[in-house]
Amino acid sequence: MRYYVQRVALAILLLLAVSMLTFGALNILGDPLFNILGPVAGDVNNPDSIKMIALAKKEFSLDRSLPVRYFIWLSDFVRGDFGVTFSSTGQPPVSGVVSERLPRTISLVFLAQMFAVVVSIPWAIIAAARAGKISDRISTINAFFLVAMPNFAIAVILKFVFSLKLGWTPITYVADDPLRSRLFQLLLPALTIGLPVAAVYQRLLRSDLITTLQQDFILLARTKGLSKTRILFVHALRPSLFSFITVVGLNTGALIGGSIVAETVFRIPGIGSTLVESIFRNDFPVVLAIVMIVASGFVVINLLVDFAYTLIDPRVRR
Amino acid sequence: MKIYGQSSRRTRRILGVTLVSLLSFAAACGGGSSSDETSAPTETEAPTDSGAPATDAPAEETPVAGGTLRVGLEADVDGLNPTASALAVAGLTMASAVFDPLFTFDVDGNAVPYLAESIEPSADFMVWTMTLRAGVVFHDGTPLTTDAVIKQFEITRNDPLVGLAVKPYYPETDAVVKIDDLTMEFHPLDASQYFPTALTAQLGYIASPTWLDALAADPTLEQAPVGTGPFQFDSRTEDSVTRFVRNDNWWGTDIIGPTYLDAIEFFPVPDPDTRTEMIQNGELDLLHTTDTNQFQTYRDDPKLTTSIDENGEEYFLMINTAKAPFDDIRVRQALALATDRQGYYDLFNAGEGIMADQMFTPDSQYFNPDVKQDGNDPAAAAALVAEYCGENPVDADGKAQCTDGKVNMEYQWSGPSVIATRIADFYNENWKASFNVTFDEQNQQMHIQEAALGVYNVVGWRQFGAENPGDDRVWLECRNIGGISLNWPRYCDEARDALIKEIANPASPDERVGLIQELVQNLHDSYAYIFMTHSSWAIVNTDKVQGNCDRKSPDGNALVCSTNGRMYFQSTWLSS
Repeated sequence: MRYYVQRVALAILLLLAVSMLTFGALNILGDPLFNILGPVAGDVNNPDSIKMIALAKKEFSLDRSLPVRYFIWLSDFVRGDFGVTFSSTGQPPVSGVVSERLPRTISLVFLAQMFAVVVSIPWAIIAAARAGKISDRISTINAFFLVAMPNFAIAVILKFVFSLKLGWTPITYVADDPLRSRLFQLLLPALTIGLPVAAVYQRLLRSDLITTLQQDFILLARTKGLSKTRILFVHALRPSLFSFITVVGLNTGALIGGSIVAETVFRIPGIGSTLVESIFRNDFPVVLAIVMIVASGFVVINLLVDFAYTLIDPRVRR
Repeated sequence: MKIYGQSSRRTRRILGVTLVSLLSFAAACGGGSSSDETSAPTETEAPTDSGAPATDAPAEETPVAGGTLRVGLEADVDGLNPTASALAVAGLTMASAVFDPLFTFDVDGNAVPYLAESIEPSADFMVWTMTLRAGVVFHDGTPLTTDAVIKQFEITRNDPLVGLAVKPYYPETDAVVKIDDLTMEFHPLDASQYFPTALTAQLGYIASPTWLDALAADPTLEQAPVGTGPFQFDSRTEDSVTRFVRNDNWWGTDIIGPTYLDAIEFFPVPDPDTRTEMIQNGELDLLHTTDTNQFQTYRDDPKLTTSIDENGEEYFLMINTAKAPFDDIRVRQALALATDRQGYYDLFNAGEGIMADQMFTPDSQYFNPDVKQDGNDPAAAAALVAEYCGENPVDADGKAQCTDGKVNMEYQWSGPSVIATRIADFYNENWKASFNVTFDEQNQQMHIQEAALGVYNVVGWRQFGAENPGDDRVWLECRNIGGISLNWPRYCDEARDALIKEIANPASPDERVGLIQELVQNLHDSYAYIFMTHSSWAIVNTDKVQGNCDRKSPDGNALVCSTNGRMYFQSTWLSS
């Protein structure tokens, strides 16, 4: 139990550190008043404008010191109130923006992760079983090619081939389409960010499988006459998954990062594209909320990975 | 106007955009190429050329009702509130489906009544009496009355941003006076024979007063506009799709004609390449773009019909004349002379569009053949700079205006944008012999703010092109210089103001042409603008889009089918 409490406490501290750094950086980097007042924000010699500026600062708590604003924000945040957007009306609330857009990004990341895991495991097993042979070498070249390709290049190639040339898939995502259509529209974006990740998983798992296949217990299994398939899937795979699971957890963050590119190229209004737009608009509450949600997701997934270790190997708890 | 594609045998007419909102230009980007320019809003923008529609139905085809039109727009909007939202081309296109204007432009460039039934000026053109059409109701059932128009006018005027383009032209009180439920008087500060042109777009789009009241309590309603238009709001997901459905109770059905489409879906697709791919892949039926690099692609596609309008806004370099060193006309002139305009055109316009010497194209009646934009003369530029730097090494505050015999200046653009950065590099190559150029890439909002506040030396900008050239006064008059200026270059010339007043109230149409040509000369002589190119808008549609040029006013006048990239949909239908 102590192990679990320690991990959770560390996770909370990490999130606090992320929130402080992000909050500080955002407030140093730019002035959000333009979003609220437009050019009036800079019209500091006009008495009417000065009044409007003062009013807006008060309304959006911009007249308070940074630490005070941070604690106001934090106390609201932990209660689920993400604040208001820095716009002339303060609408829509940040929670509205996030709740509308987050499910799209989660769907995309989930699909990409599923794809990467489902593809990489058999790919790694086949490569490990034929290690050093020509098929393994071709597989290695393919994997390196996918890892080396930037996301946007994969997106463009996929779009060109499957949408423009073959006409099999739509080019963009339409948020109001039925669920089935939207899932189909997410296919290419999920492949865009899932393919390089699948290649990384494959390389890692292949390597661990090759090491495992040289262990004595595998030799024993062979001498007992077990089939190659049974040895690979039942005896070699499980002890080889340790690093794989770690990387799957860590890569969730990378997938969210990749989703920014995919959302932009395939016109998906998720939190990745919203994050970019909000940074350019100095809409700090939105940026902060998204950063904290992504960070929380990242931390929670890695907590789960840590806990999963304890199931695979209970010695970790000690 | 050039027409390409299946309907190329037909000609078409496109009139200019009408914008009022200060924030219109927030939707455009700083830079310089036709696909990446900072666009200022214009109160009303110019007619392009005339002709018959390019995309109307073949004679044997009869319009059919039904279907959903999918339209690709260059941007989304923050809201669709005509009293406060930043309605640039994309916003005005959406608004044109859900709102009706008080007046609209016919194919001859005249402002003709739409929601208004009639308008009559006083003898001195200082009072305009407008009568609204009876029996018009908003989508929420509220009747259109004088009170609705006055309410909207006052809300607009008091908006801190949109109001900037309205306030200077009306008295503080009794700007609009109610006569009866359908009749009112407008009391502008200046006599204008062309007053109705100001009520053709955002200022003329009338929203439901019930909705405006509700907006005050719940600003999120800006996303769900309520007007009198042929389509009504259905759903909206920002940055993805906005859907309007046919208004089956539209007041104009019996007077103007039926609305055929079941629905319109607007897709904001900022990347022009993606817009092109979408229409080629069958995901869009119609799009607009200023990306000249795509024009040839459209022409080469036999399934697409393209019409190109080169008579709208102008792209130019804009100079802050209120701030040293550009408060000296010699420095402004030197910058113009140092600029390789032909080189810019060759590099960044993909052989499309035409170079601009002034705010009118050569086929316009207002074109002044004597006005040629200076440029491509670096030796003359160097001589002027040497003269200036000899006299003004430092400004009044002791700040160095020249270093090593060159004028110190800053060029600002809106970014991040690869093309805008390339353009900045190009200008630097032009100017570096006589100017020490520092670059200032700002995000779009800061770019606009600094232009409005006069915190810049030189910026790339897109503006002008008003349907009624007199409506471009909002960018030119001394009264629009202040803390926040719509006269961005902050150039005040009383003689120009007098000229603009004469243009609004000429003795004859011929005299007006001469006066506008004088204004063109005045603009050139101020060296506040270095004209580069006339912006080109392409409207592209697939085979099945028909009838978008068959619009008519309630009085039967043929109306324009697009205006500087803005599109209309009441008469559009989809063939099978």
